[in-house]
Amino acid sequence: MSEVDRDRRRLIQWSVGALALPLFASEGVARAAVFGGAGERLALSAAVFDRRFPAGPVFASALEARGVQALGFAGDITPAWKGLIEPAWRGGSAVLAGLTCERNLACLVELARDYRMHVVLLARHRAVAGEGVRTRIYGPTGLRGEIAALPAAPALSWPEQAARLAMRVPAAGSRDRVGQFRSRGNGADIEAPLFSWVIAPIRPHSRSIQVPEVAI
Amino acid sequence: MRVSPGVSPADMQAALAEFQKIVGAEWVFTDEEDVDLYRDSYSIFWDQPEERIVAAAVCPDSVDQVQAAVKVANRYGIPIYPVSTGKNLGYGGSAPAYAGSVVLDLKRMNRILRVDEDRGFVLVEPGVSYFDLYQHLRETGSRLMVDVPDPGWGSLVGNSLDHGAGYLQPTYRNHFESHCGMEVVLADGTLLRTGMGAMPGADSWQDFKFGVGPWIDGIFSQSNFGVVTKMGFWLMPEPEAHLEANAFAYRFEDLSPMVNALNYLENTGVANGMSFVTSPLYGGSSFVPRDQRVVDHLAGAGHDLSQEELNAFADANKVPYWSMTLKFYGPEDAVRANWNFCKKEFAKRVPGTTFDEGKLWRFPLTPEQHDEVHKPSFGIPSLEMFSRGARSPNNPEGDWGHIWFAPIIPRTGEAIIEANKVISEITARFDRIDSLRRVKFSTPTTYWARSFILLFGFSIKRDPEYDRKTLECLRTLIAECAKHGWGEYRASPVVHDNVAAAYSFNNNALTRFHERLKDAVDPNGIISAGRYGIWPKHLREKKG
Repeated sequence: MSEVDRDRRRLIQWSVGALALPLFASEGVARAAVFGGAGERLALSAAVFDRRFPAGPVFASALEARGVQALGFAGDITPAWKGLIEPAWRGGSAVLAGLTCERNLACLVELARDYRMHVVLLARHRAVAGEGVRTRIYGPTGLRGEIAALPAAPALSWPEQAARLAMRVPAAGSRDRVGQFRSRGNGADIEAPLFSWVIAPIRPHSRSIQVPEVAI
Repeated sequence: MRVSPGVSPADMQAALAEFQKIVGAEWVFTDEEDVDLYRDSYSIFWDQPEERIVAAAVCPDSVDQVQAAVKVANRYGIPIYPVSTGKNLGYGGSAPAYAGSVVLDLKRMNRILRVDEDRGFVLVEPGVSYFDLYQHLRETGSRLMVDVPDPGWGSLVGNSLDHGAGYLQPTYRNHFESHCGMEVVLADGTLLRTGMGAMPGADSWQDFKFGVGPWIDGIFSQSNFGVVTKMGFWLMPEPEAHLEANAFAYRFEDLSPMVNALNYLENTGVANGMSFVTSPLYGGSSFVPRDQRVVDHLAGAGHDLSQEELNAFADANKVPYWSMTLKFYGPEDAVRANWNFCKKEFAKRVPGTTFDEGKLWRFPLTPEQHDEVHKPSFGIPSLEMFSRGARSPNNPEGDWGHIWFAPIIPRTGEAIIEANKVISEITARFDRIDSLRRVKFSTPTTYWARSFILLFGFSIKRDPEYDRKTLECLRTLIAECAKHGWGEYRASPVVHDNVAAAYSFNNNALTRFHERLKDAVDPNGIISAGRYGIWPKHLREKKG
């Protein structure tokens, strides 16, 4: 399986609902896993980033400069989960961005299911010898225009480009591979691929599992 | 709308409408994008015809709603699959054993109903996670500890019913053994309480497990005889101190006397935490890492070495073959005295044993210490295990998940060696390796006080040919290990039939007994059909 196929399949898995499964008698076709009107963008509620990677704080600063609260963690995502993400998701539909390793993202995807949320943007950042960092992006097809309009490096570093994309995810549209970009010179600190992403409710006002008052 | 197998579209629609009346329309999920949230992320059959897909999901908020929903399912013959938090990845997640079931999602039932600090117990609903309980206890100033698995996102009820485990003292880390009393909704909607809970007004439901007469709690674990809606759990009071220390042995043949010493020390209660049997030579443990000299030697060789070559290196360089990590909870004076006794016992039985005095921790831990310790050994739930990379030089593509092979073997050194020989021959035949630890020799875990489990996690690659070969390997392992008397303690639903079939004494008398129970308590076979190989009558007949 090629790298592109693998990543595309990851997005499909992590944004479940985009697949038609011909296993059951069905009265209709799978609905597109989208919401919002044409031209609308998802409004980020918060962001998390892994401080172990130098790209994390850069990604966070770029979002904070645009008014998005970002919380860092160092490998163990538990503090971010308990301190920011879970309270936000329990409170309702909170769109979250992040820059993490793959397994921490997979962990969040599992937790997001309980709140009827899924991945709507997946950008894979990988160091390529002699090239710097190569970023492949999977998400709403409406992002293609945004990617084309991104200021090229070195005007923006790749974490800044990733943050900018996370801010501009269309609220509607089918999802697929939507583009890639390369950033020279700053890939030495990426041993394994990193992922920037946006997790959003499957639909507006998605119903999350509310916690009742503890009864003793 | 997906329709459950054996149900007409009209009946499915009518049942869903009744479910909506019971739990509210917003808590019945039928859209594909909602229902697919219950797919097993680690499924070995992802996108394949055999994948166990859910038809719909119903999310009750109370016992009354569970009773009403079960009655509706019974009336229309809808197969239902209760899940608590559905996070037992590697063992099936929230996907059912029987494709097309309606998930009865109990996550909304997340009330902590009672905490008794002095008697050391809690009573909880299925949706209460280890995180939830830990947070509640800390916020209320409790000094009770929660025995947590790795990771801490699961449900106490679900993990216990699936025979999950943690890391504290044996009574607590065996999560089913640590429960005391349960409440169950039967297939006809009857509400049942076990143990002292069967006596109206008894305040000892979470004190005494058995009540009087047959103790039936066991039949509701790894099974499909009812929907558990409450469980009590004993919690360990925070001790004064915790000590972790190591003993090392330097000959291959030392394993048996080391294990026998460990058995004696645990069975007498001297070593009262979860011990780890590991190998600095063969590797595979995050608790006692592979000896750096071995790591360097392997790197220099540029390829794997055979067991004989590794043994020769160990003998020439005084690398320990085996290590035993012992853990102690209790007063500081007592845990130090117990460790001293353990050292004498190991030295007596295994001449040449050396010791690492380890580290002693006093409770409560400081926030800084939280970041230094193996959190589950201190009852702290976390997601820390996900911080490690999914890809490595040995595994550049990463995995999509894993599927466990987890046989129980006798608690002897001979069994460890023999089981590794048999298992490694089979995995080599299929060109498979434990993808989580990437070692050829597996040392056992001691989740249960009196047995060993060998844990192997096989990669899911989302390559149908690769994954089918892995499944074939797994099924071969189950069948071949059964010939040696090594049976799995827990398994993914894709191999429940294989695992159950291995427990075949007297023409599968146990399975046939399970089936008679199933037919008696759930005659329409609506609850968790096929779970751990227990199929209702109408599906047994269909399967032939």
